[in-house]
Amino acid sequence: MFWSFGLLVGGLVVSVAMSLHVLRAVTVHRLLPTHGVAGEAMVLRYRITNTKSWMPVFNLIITETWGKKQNGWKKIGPVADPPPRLAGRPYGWGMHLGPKQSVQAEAPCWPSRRGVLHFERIELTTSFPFGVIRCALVVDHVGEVLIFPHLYRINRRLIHRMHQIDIGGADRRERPSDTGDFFGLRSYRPGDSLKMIDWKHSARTGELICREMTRHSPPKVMLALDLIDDAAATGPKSDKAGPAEPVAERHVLIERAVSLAASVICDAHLRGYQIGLIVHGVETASFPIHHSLPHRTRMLEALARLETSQPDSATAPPAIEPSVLVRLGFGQGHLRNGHQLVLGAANMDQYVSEAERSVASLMDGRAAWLPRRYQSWKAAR
Amino acid sequence: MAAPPISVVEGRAVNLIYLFRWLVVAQVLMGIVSFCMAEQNPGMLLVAGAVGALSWYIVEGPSGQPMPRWLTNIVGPIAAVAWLIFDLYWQKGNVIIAMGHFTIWLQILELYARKTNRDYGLILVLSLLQMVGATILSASVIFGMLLVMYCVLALFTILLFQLKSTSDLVLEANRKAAPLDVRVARPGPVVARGHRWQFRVTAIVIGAVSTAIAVMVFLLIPRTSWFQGSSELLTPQDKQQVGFIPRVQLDGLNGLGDNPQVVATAKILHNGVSNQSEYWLLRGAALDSYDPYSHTWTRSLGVASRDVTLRLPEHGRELAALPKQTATVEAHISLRKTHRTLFTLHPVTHVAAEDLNAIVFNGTDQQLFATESPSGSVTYTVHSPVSPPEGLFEMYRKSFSLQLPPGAMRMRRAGYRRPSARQYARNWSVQADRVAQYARQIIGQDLQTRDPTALHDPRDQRIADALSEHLRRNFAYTLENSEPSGTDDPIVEFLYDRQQGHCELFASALAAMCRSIGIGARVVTGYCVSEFNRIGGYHVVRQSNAHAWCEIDLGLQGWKTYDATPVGAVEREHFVQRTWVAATRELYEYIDFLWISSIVTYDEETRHAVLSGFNQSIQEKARDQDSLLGTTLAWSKAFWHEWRFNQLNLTLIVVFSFFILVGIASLVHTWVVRRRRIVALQLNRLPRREQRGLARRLSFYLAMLDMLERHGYHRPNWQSPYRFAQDLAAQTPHRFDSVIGLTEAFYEIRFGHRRLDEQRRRLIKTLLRKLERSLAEKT
Repeated sequence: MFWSFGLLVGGLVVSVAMSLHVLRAVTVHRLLPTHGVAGEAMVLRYRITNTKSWMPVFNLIITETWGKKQNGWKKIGPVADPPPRLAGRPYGWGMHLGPKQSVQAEAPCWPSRRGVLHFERIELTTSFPFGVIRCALVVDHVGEVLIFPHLYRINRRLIHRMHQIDIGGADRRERPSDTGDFFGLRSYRPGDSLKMIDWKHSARTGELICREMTRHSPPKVMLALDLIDDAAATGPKSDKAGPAEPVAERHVLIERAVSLAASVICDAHLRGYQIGLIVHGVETASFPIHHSLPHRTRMLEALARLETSQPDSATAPPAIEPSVLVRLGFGQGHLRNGHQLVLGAANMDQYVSEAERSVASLMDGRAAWLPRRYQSWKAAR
Repeated sequence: MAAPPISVVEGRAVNLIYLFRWLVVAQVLMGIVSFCMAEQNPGMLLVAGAVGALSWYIVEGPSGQPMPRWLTNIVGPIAAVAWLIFDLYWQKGNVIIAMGHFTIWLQILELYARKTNRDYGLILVLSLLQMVGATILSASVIFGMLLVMYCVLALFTILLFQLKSTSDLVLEANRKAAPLDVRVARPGPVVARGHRWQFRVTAIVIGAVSTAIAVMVFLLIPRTSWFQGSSELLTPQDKQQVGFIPRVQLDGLNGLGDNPQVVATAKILHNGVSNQSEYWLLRGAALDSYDPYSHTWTRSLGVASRDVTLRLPEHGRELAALPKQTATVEAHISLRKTHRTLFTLHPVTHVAAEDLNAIVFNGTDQQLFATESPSGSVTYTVHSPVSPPEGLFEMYRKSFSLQLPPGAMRMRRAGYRRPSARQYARNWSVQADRVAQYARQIIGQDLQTRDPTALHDPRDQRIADALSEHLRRNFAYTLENSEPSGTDDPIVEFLYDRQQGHCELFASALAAMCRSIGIGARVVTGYCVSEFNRIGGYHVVRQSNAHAWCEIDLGLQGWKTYDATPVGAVEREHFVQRTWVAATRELYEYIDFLWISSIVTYDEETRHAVLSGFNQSIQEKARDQDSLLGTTLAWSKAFWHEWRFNQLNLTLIVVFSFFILVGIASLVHTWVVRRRRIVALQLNRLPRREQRGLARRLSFYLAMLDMLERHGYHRPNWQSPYRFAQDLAAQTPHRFDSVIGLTEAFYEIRFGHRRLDEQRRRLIKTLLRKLERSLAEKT
C-alpha cells in the first residue's frame, strides 16, 4: 500500500514537473490557406517547433481561441465561442515533437458562411503523461482567410442553355486555328507547321499552301446579380412555378443568390466559358468578360466580400444587358426573350443539387424552418 | 501553401489503438493471474484466464464482434452481483476475495463489450483494485515480481491510453464541427524523427523517477499501527490456515502434517553464531487441560484468566531478570501469517517486536501472544537462557500474578476461583488407575517410587527421564494412525495396545503418566526447526515441521522440555536432501525472506534503523580519513585554513573554475553532438576514426534534413537519401533541386570517399542557402 501511494505521489510529481517544462521553448505558427469555401473542409496547418535540446513533447492538442485569454492561472476574461462563420473550433493533434525538431500538424474546420474568417490566437495544450495536469500555451497569432460562398454543381440542362447564349447572338465562332475541322486554305507563312501544308494544292499551284482549321470560341456570359428585386416579396406569378411559396427572409435569399452566382461562375469557368460579373444593389467592382483562373478567383473574392446588409436600391442598373440574371425571387430557368437566362434564388434547387441542406447550414440554423416547409410544399406538389 | 507533411501516416493511428487494446487485455490478464496466485485459487485462474484471453479472439479477432450491450451492461453485472452476494453470504467468503472475484467478472464482461474510453478507464481501475486486494492477500516474492511487471505494463498502458483518448477527443470535436453528412477521419499521428525510442525513453524516465519517489515515500513516510486493524478482513478460515492450531485433538491427524509451506523463518544465534546443525523447538501453545469426551488438549480458562497485557517499548520488554553472565540464545523470528500465538524458545526472558505495540504474556504457562491477529507478517526477537536459572519460573509467577485481568473481580464475586499453582497441570482423571499403573511399572523397573500427593520430589527429573526414555525406546513413531476403538481413551490405547503413533500421542502419554503419579506436566505444540537456509543463514519453519512435546514441572528447575518422540524418526521425516532442486528452493526462499523482511514488514522501527544507518554511514565516511568523502572534506577544511585568500585571489579562482567548468561542459556537448550525428548518419559500424571524420564532413546533410523537417518534410528511416530526394523533387521540381545536389554530395563523401575541399564546401553552402530561400518563399 505504501508502494502504491509512493507511485501515485511519484506520478503526480512527474506530471507537475513535466507540465512546468514541457511547453517551454515551443513555438507555433499558423499556415493559412489562401481561401476556403463555405460548407467545405478547410485545413489549417501549424508549424510547431521545439527548441529545447533534450525534452520531447507528446500528445499536443492544437486549437484556436477567440476573445479574452487567460494569463497563467488568472482568467482575464471569458473565452469566446468560435466566430459564426465557423461551425466549431478546429482541433489538431501532434503525437510527438522531438527536441530541436519541427512538425507540421493539421486541423480541419468547416466554415459555414462566406466572408473573412479571422483568427486571433493559437492554443497548444497537453496533459501528458497521466492526464492529471493540463498545461496550455496560448500564442497571439492573428490571421484571416477569405471564405468563398457555398459552391454547388449547376444542372447540365442549365449549362446547355447558357451555351446557347452569346452576347454577339451566336453560340459559337469559328476562327482559324491548328485544331478542329477544316476551315480553308492560305499561303504558307514562315513558322507554319509542315504537317499543315496541303501538298496536293501546293503541287497544283506551285507555291506552298497551308490548311487552316476551325477553332471553337467559348461562349461569353455576362452574369448579373440583382440584389434589388421586388419580385422576391411576392413570389412567382405563374401557376406553373407552383403555388404561392412561403418566401424566405430577404437575407436568406440574398445569400442563396450569391451562392448561385458563385456556382455559375465556377461551373462556367470549369467548362471554359468567358464570364463577367455585374452586381446590382451593392457597390462593388464589375468584372468584364474574360476567362482565366485569377479572373475567376477575383470574382469569387468579390462575391465573398459582398456586404449585403443594406442593399442600395438607388444604384444604377447595369449598362450592359446580362445574358444570365440571378435574382432574389423565382426564376424561369429558361431563356427570356431568347437571349437572357433568369435564375431565381427562391427556387435555387431547380438549378443546383443539394441546395436545401446547404441553405439550412448557410443560415446557421436561423432559417431551419425553411427547408421543412419547403419540403412539405414540394411533397404536396 | 505548404505540402502536407510526409510524416503523417494514417496507418500508425490504427497501430496505436491496436497496441493499446492489446496492452489492456494483457494488463487485465496479469491482474487476474496475480490475484488468483495471491488467493491460491488455480481453478479461478484457469477459468477466468481462459475466458479473458478468449475475449481477444472473439472481440478483437479478424471476424470479431462485441457482445450485445444488454448482455454486458445488464445481465452480466446482475450475475456478477449475484456471485458476490453468494460468495459473501452463503459461502461466508472473505470480503477481499469476494470483491476480487467480482472485479474479475466485471472486467471480463467489459472485455467482451464494445468499449468507450470510459469503459477502458473502468477496466484499468478494476484491475488496479484487484492488485490492491492481492497485495493484502499475499506476501510472496512471486507476487512482488508480478506487481513490478504489472506496474511497468500499467505505465505503458496509461501513456498509450492518454494518446488514444486525446486522439478520440480531437476526432469527436472534429465530427461535431463537421456537417452531418461528412465523414471525418481519425487524425493521423503527427510525429517527428525518432518518436519511438523517445517515447520509450520518456516512459522509462517517468517510471524511474516515479519509482525513485516511491522508494523515498516508502522509506521516509512514518508508520503507525492503524493498519493492523485490517486483520479483521481475514476470514476465520484464513486464520486457521496459518499453520498453527492452539489445541491437540487425539482422534486423528489435523491434515497439516505434510504441507511444505513456509510459515516462519528463524535466525537463532547462540553466542552470536547461527549453527545449522542444531535443531530447535519453537514453542507455541502450552495445553494443560484434557477433555476426555472430545479427546482434546486445550488451554484451561483458569490459566487464560492470568494473561497480562504488556506495553512493548521500542527497545523491548524484559519478562524476567537473569543473573549476569547467563548465556542466552537470541532468536529473530519472522512469522508469515499467524494466529495470535507468538512462537518462542523456552523459557523466554526478553521480547522485542517491531510490528507490535503490546503483547500478552502469561506467567503460569509462559505463553506469548499478540494482542490481536496481525494482518500480515510479524517480526520479533526473543531471548532465552541456555540453562534456565533456579527460581526463574517462580519469578514469572510472582511478577505476573498480581495484576488482575479485566472482569476478574466480577468472576470472583460470582464464586469463581482461579486454580492455584498446586493444581495447575496436575492430576489425571481419565482412566487414572491404568495410566498410573503403567507409569509405576516403568519407574518400578528403575526402582523408583513417587508419592502422588507430593508437590515436588527430588527424583522427579529421573522419573521424567525414565518415562520419556521408555516411550522413545519402546514405542514407534508413525503418522498413519487408524481411528481409535472408542472403548478406551486414545492415550490408554496408545500405551497399552498400539504402542505407536504421532508426536501428539507421545506428548500426551508422557504428560498423562507424569500427572497420574503427581508430577506437573503439560503438552506443548509448536514447530521442530531443523532445516537451515545456508544462503540466508536462518532456519526455515515449514508447516510440516509442526510438532508436539511435553513440559514437566521439576520444582526448583522449573518447567523442563521433554520430547518423548523418537528423535531419529522425526529427523528422518524432516530431513531435506541436498539436491539442486533443494538448492534452488533455498535460493527462492531466501529471496522471499528478503522480500518479506525488507519490503513487506518494513515498519517504523526499520525505517528509523535505515535512516539512522544511512546517517551513521555518511558520518563514518566523513570521519574516515581514508575514504574519498573524508579526504575531500578534510582537504577542503585544510584548504581554507592554509590558503588565506584575499579578494583578488578568490575572484581569480572563481573565474578560473568557471572557465574550466565551461570547457568541460563544451567538451561533453561536443561529444554528445558528435554521437548524435554518428547515430543519425548510421555510421556506428565504421571504425572510430572514420566515424568522427565522416560525422564532421556530413553534418551538412543533417542540417538539410533539419531544415526540411522544420517545414514538415521528414525522411522516414526506411527511405534512402536518394529516394527521399527523388520524391521531393517529383513533388515540386524547382523547389527541391538543391536537395538533389546536396544528396549527391552526401553520396560522394559517404561512399565515394571524396574530400570536402573548398570547392565542394562552397557548393554545399550555396545549395543550402538556395534550399532555405525556396522553403521560405513557399511558406
